[in-house]
Amino acid sequence: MMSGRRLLAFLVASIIVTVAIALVLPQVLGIYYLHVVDVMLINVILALGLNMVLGFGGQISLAQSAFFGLGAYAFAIMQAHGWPAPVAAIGAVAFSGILGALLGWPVLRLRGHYLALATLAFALIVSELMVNLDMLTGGANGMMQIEGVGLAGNNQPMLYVLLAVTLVAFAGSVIFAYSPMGLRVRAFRDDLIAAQAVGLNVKAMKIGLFVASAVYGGAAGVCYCWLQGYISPDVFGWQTTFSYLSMVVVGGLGSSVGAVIGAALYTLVPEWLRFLQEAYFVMFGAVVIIVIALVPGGLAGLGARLFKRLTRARSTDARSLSEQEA
Amino acid sequence: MTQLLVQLILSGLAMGAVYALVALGYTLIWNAVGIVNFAQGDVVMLGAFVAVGALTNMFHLPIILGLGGMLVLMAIFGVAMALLVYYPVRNAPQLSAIVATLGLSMMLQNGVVLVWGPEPLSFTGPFGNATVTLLGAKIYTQYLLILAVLVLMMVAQEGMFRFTSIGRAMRATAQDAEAARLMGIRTNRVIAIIFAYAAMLAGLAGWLVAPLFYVSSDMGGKVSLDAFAACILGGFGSIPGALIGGLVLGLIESLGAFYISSEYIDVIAFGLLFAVLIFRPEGIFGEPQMERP
Amino acid sequence: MRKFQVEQRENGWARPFFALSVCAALLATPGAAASAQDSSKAPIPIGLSASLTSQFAQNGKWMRQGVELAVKEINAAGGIKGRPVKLYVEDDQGVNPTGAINAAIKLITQDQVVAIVGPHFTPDILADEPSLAQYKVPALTGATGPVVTAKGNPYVFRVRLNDNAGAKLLVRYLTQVRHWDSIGLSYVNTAFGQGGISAVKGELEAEHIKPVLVQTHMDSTKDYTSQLLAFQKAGAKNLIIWTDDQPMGLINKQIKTLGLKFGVAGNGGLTLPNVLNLAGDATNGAYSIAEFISNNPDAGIQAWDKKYKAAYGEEPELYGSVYYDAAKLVLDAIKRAKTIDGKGVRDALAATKDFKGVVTTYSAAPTGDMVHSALITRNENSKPTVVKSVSEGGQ
Repeated sequence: MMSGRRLLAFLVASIIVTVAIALVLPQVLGIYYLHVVDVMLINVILALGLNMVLGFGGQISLAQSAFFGLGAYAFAIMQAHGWPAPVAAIGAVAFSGILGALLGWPVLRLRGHYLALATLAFALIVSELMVNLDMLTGGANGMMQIEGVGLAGNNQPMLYVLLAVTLVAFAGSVIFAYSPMGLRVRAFRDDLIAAQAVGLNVKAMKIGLFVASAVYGGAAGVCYCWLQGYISPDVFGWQTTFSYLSMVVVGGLGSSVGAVIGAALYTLVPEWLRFLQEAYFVMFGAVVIIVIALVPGGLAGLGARLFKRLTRARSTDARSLSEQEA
Repeated sequence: MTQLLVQLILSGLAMGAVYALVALGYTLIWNAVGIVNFAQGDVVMLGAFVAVGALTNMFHLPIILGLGGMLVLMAIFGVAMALLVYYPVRNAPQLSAIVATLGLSMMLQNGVVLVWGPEPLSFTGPFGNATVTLLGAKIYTQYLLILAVLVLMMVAQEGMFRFTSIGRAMRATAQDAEAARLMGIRTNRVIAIIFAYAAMLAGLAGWLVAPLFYVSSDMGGKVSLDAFAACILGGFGSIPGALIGGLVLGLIESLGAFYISSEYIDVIAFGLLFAVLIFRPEGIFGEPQMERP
Repeated sequence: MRKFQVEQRENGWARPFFALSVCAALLATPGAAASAQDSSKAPIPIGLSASLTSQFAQNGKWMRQGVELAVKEINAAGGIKGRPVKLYVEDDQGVNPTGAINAAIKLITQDQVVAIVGPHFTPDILADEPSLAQYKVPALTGATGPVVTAKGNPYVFRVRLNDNAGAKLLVRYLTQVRHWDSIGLSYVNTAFGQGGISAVKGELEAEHIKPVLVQTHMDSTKDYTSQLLAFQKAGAKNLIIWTDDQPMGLINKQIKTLGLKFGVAGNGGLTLPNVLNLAGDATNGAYSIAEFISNNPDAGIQAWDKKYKAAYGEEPELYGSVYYDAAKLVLDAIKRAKTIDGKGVRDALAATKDFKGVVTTYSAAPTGDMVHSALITRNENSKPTVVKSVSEGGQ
């Protein structure tokens, strides 16, 4: 069990790491790779959000691409109507969250592949509406010259902004995981009947998780607007939702750090493989299969096991790991 | 008026038959090993490319040999899928297995472009553009072939499941793999055979649509999704469900695009699906009480 | 004080730190600052943003063939001012704004290109526009969506006829010369299709003609039975179709199968070899606003046919030819540029006047549009033939 002090130490370490990255990266990376990191951070936020409902809650949601798009379009449309950037940002995230509730409520009874298809249908419908409602969304041409916070294309300042948002998202996820509410959520993931027997309000928690994933997705959408200054329905197509699923699973379901690792690898590995030109996606698909085959529980678990093995030498007596408490 | 309806219904049924063939593959694999193979639509595409790109275009085999050769190669591919993609993740959480199939999907879609180039291929098939007049309406002869093949297939499959030992072994493994193993069935082998069979079904579907549409690397994506929806509509895990679900979905798309709106047809079809899921998630035939071990 | 309870897990701060440091180190290797070069003989870098992957990989392949041929030619002739030209190719992954921006930034900041050919698709070039303006590097695109040159970005040049102009010229021909009426419209629901059909609608409205029915489809739509029957029910005698290659082939094929009799017209896709291969004689009689057809008896085009065939073993088609011209335009601009950098090349491109390319003659307008004329063609015997040439500002 992690004590409050441990958790605090973990969070402080995360802040230190983030600040270190912010200081170091712009010095060693060219503009292009800074841009890649910027895109990666947006994927991290998406993966953290999906991990909420998928990893912590055990609910298969394939709607993350829709929340990404809803947040992005809501922000762009609100700003185009004259709302100042901070208001539009909050409005967009709230809008996405509300839609998360609207999705989470009717699908309460669904599980497994039924839930998967229902959320996928939602993602498909949202992406089609983006194209069809062209009076509102600009249609397939998308929305151009989004002002955002005036940093579109400016990869270094955007790095700081994105690192800040990602840090908040990450901290939120970690705090939630280790909070009493987070434990209850993971209880119902592991054993629904027992959780209900203990009196947990499973319905409220399920809807809450959808809202959480939608809020994260919406925030990622707002960040995308700020970074690129341009959105089109192509960015939020229903097929992209499977990428976010893969990030969370490869990184390690139910682990905030896992979501970070999965998103990072999923964004960076294709870049490393670019030299293969036409063949790089074939290689990447193979890499995904190999990683999943070797580490089906996700990479975060692997890292944890390695770390434990490395630090095990320190403990002097034969207490089990679960009792190693500070 | 009849003419119109005949054309709409037949084209809807023909598309639906294709969905049904792919949905069957989903159902068999799900029943056997409890995972949803998201690469199934891309296996359809692979079958089409193998039959058209390799066997017909490169080796100039006559059509029947091309079909037969493709089925054999797809069976081998199915076994490879079982060994390399399913087997390593057989004890992993379901989501890990799904992600493995997503990786396979990516490999297939990009792999065919590497092998056969990015240009879509055309295929005359057994009937080319020949049409037949039914009740005053002109329809592709190929539609009738698709429907005939589906019916023959279902009959043959029933026969195999009931009267051959391998078919019975497949049914037993699908119902309860543990019990089947205890009864002496070599379940690992049977699972590989099920994958091979599902791959053959997908390849057959690809071969059937290739003359109507084109063989291209993106032909699998939408088919995957539609077939998955067909399974749910008919009742996930049920074989007659996959069949009926596919045909019904094809009809909805065809009639809906004409009578309601072609712009919003996907929104309508999937909105309907969403409603079905909320109000009757077990679909038309319900799901047999089966949990993944 | 309430303790946060949690399942057993060691303090995991070291892992993300290590992981990210390793990532940073690996990324830094190629990202390290480029070393200074002797500029007098150093290669001149130009970039190509093309779809090497995705279902549009065919398009990328043709673009690449055209551009590489132009670069090979100029290097064989000794380069520009004694400097060889080096082509950098990056994948924009099809219709993918994120991918397009990645490719553009890589070309500009890593490969230091002075100009970019491509990307081809409207959402991709729209996504690139802010970066092009920020880093002052010009791009030449074959995207035809009108909005591409409507925002006044001085760094975007278009090497094909703007769809606003193209649609107008086609509609005028159909209504005034062929006296079309009872027109149905069909378009693909993408930036290209929406932009094109909007221009068609605008011109029809200007001529006081109301389309009897407007329908849309996706690139992935395979069966058009419902839509074609709906057009018939609505009383359409003629169809104007603005769509991508596969749908264009399928729609024409299915019109024939269903035994429907429509007059057909549409965008240049009707003249492309892959559409003709797929639809065969089903497109006979169809009119199109096109730019390039390889069996044009014009001597220049016949010479180009020979050259391309010698290099690639196949006849040239529209995209390979257009992007060959685009590359030649860039190379010509580099020759004329006061300074060989993004801004210098941009200024030279903006001054392009009457540059004779393979496809047509290019002159830069203030909007960045460089093409102002096209061909009306009609398909006969499964091949397009030229009916007349048309240009903006005249018939």
